[in-house]
Amino acid sequence: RAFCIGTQRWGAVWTGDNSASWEHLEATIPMLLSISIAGVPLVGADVGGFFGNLDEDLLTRWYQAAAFQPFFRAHAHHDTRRREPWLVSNVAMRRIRDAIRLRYSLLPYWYSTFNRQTLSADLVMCPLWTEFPDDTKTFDRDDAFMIGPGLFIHPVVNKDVTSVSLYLPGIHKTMWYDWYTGVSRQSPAHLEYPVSMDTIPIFVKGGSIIPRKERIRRSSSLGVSDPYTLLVALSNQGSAVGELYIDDGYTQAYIDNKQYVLRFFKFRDRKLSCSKGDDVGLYHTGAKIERITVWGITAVKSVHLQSDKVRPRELEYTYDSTIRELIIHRPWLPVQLDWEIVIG
Amino acid sequence: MQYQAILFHGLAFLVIILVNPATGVPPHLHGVEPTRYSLYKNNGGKFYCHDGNGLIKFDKVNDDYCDCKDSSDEPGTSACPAGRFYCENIGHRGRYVPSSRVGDTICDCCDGSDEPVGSCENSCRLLGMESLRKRQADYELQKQGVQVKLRYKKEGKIIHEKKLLRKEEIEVELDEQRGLLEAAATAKEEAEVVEKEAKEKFDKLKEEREKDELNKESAEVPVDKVLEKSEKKKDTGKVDKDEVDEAFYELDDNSDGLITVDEVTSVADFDVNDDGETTAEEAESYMGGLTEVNRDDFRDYVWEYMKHVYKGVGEDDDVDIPEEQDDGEVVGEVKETEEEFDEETQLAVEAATTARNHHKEIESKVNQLDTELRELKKVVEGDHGGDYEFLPLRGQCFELSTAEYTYRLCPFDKVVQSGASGGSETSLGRWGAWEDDTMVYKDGLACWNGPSRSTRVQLVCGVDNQLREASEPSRCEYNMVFHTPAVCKDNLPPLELDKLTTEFHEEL
Repeated sequence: RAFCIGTQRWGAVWTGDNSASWEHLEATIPMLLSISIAGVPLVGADVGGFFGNLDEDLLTRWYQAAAFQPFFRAHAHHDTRRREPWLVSNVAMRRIRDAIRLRYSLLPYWYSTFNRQTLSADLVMCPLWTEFPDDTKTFDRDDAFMIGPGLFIHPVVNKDVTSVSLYLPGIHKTMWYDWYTGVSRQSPAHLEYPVSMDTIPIFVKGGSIIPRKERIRRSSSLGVSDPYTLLVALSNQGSAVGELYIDDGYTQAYIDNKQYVLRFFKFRDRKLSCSKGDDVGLYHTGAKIERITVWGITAVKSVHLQSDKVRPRELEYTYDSTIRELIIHRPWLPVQLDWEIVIG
Repeated sequence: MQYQAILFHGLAFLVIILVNPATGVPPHLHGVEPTRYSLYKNNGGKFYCHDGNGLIKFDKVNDDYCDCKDSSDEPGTSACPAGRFYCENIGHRGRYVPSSRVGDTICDCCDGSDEPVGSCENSCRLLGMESLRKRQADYELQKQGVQVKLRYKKEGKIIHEKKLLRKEEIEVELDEQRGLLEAAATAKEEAEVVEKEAKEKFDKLKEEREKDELNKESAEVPVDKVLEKSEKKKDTGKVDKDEVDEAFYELDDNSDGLITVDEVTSVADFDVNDDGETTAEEAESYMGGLTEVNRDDFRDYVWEYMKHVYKGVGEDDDVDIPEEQDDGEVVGEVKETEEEFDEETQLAVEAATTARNHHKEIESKVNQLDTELRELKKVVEGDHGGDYEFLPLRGQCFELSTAEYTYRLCPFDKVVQSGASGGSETSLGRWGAWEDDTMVYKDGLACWNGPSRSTRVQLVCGVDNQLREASEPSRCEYNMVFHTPAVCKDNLPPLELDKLTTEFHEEL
């Protein structure tokens, strides 16, 4: 594709008239990574491929991969057979719907990552070597990538496979948490990761805090008032950071009138704190946090909320020591206010 | 009917003013269908997730946080992914919506119970009336349609029986004719054997005779050949002269030895622009600009123009006008040189020819019967409805015109499309098979790089036969909607007004 000055600020870019083939699905990753490091972040490829017809497996895998690429759009030549997700078999439709819902639940993370990109040109879709420049094993790999600093994805791009050979990067003992189980692995690690048609191999990097909206809505605008879930994945030093950027999601008021809010989350020494991200944003949001999941924490005995702005109290939780997963139930914490949770 | 209507409206009014749906239900029952209230009973302060995978405090039901894996603790909020919210919709029909639609600012229930109190208008009564009206109208439609359908069934049965009878007749006749064909074939073979032998014998004799003659007169042969040739030439010349004269004779209506423009304009062959009239100009263009020609002029040049189009008055066949006159060869029909056989051989040939013709006659009759039988089988063995109600549609066609195209559906035959202003037809499919109430037509004209065109025709109850909709939802795969009385439901139970809306469910 051809670009001009300003494309990187305003343009959504797609890779052009590709084909409905496994090879072209596989090629989306290196192509999009190339455009990303060239400075254009909102990039994607036609989901399902432009030319030709495809079987349900390829369509399913394409939706799964593209749900983790910045510009997510299905498109095809007028003469191809229709392939809207509701026209395929129930099994395929369910899988595609799950992939779409997964993406939507991560929109707060996407949005915050794009805000970071706007401020400092950080990458949204990142080659592994940009996050792990001293891990030479990442230099050759373009079968996996990261979204922001926290999410690692290795999409399945081959037909009829039961596992993928993936590599969890980092030569300084990075913790990686399996998205589906919360089970952690230390890097560097080569894995023969088993997959079914339902699986998109995703890992969360230890040290990240990922904001999500888990409630299912028909469109993102209907979920404007929905509460957040924080996913805290601890590094092997027991720490993590993350941020949440919120504006009205619709107008230019964020830039005209500072109508946005940026909040920082920090986990350290068994304490999770919520504090201001900057002194500029003026947006008011009543958004709450309805769930906090912490991975990699040991021996939890109590969870206590501390704050000047919110009533301090003991918080309800469940803790699974076998996978070291703590879930704090319905803390109902306002995102806009400062507070701290102390885990005993 | 009138009394029931009054009763219905009266009770509906009564119920609406007695029950206030907005505040009637305690929070833990919000979104729960009344018949399932027992599943949300307070069990000594506890609640069992319905799949058995969890025991939680009862105050966690509908507390806007998902506690149960099966989403059963949050029917009335959007907290769980698989929750189901029941809209009571008093005045209309109760229904379930996914709990994810609770509190999303869209009024999914007509009573607005999926959104905060006051944010939605209650449109249930209106919808209920409308739904009732539609149901009644549809009921009437079905009833009316069924009357016509009864007629179709009667007609269909008659057609079916007639065809069945005819089929049996033909099968018998076909048997007979097949027998005759076999006999004729045998007779033909035998006659041809005799003919062959006779001819061979004759040819042999002829050869011997000619050999003798050749030995006698060797010098005269070339002259003969030249004579033969010139005779042929004379013949063609003679034929030509005859034709010209004949044409002149025919065109000269008043036999005055002159062909005039008037006489020419009376002949359709000279109508250049095919507008049904030979004008004076057109006539003169064939007369070389002259207004009247005599025999010599006619023969010398006018005939040159006319002979290409003039077909002759009163002649049935086209006469192949010899075009080349120079080398004396006749181009066109070749007459079989008739050899003269001796009597014996001649008889054999004639007998064989008769046998051949006889065989051909019977063969064509057999083919004719066979074709008719195949068509009849299609009618008799095809699926035209359990009571033959679709049979009367066979042989008819129904059209629908859109801005661009005209579609034509001929049930049990084909579907075609032509341009709205006429033009050739494109096949959108030939009759294939039934799929429930849908007719599937397949193997139409192939699309470039794509499938053969096919059409699915949905049948809908209607008072008369009408092709109502045509679309192409996927490339070269067409969808049509055909209204016909033949699919109206003839065993509908009477419309029970009291079962149509939720209120009566509890009140009566």
